Amino acid sequence: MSQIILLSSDNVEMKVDKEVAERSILIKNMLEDVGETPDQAIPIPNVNEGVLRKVIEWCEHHRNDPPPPADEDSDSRKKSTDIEEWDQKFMQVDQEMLFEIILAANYLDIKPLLDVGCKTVANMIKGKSPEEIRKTFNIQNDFTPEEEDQIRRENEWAEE
Amino acid sequence: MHLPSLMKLPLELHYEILSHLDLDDHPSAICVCPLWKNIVSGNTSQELRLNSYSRSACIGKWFIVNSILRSGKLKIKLHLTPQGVKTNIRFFWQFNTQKQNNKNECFEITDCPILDEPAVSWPLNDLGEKSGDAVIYGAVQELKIGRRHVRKLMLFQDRSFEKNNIVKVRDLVLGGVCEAVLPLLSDLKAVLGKRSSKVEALVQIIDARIKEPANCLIIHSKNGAM
Repeated sequence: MSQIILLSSDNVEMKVDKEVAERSILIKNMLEDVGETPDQAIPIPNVNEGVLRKVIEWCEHHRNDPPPPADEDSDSRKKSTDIEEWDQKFMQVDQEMLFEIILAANYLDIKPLLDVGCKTVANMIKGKSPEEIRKTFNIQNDFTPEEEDQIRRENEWAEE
Repeated sequence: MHLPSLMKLPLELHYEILSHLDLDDHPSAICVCPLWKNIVSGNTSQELRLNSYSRSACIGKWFIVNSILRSGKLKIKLHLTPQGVKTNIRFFWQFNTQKQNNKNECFEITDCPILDEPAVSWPLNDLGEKSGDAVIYGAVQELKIGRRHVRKLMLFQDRSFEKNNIVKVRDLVLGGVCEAVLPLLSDLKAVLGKRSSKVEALVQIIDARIKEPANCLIIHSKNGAM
């Protein structure tokens, strides 16, 4: 099994199986372009050590996952509560790390990980009032009271 | 002040996250902050929505359609010709209070057919019976065409689709329809909010929009004859 070396943004080298690293489409495409397994470390400038380790952990666990079906069923993708148990545990991290993982998955082009991350956030939104959502994510309320009132009125239909 | 980390995510990831919400959660999400309001209600730039985030955008667009329909102020009529090709589809807009002579091929959708439930309704005549016009049912299917998720509105002549015995009469790829209808809807929404000379404004808007090229549908004012 050939291995490659990834270099985090804070200059920490990590050796991983090529197969594992290739869960990242970015890395996979890059390796294909290069044509052979590089001896040098591949820099991942946007991802720090802690996050990269976490991402690699996910890729290790999912190294044998079948590729997503070509005709991805959009219904199954839609169901946010639908996260497998291991992934749920994996995502039990603080918000800062959760968002870092999402950013890394987006950058490295690991769609299933991105989905799990976004679903996790979506689940934190579900069933909450606007105020609760703002509190959960420490979002500032940028609406004036008048705007808020108007928005509420406009959307009354849905709160029947 | 420490920037909330969720808000540090780039725009496209907000789309990703919000696309996983159920429609039930949209009203709350809209009230959270202006960014989410724009995403969920589909007010961000057309190009961005159409090019990169068609799926999320689709939800946003139909959210608007739905809220207008549910507001009971506006109904959509589809006018299908026997040819049934896309260019022969006409959208009619009218207010509840207006009486309209229904032609045989004017199909009224009184509930939102875009979301999960099929639309099952037809105008009743003065005796409370279904008018002589054909009843049409709509059902929506979400599907993927190429790399795009689109919602397809399927119209049926009877309720056979409920028994899995689907007779497809016409279908419209709403992904394409949306592109032409959305700007119109946004304008309509603004007009409806003002409650002033609605009909004139409506016709004005529609007239303005007709002049714009729309490759998949033609929008007519309410009396636009075939």
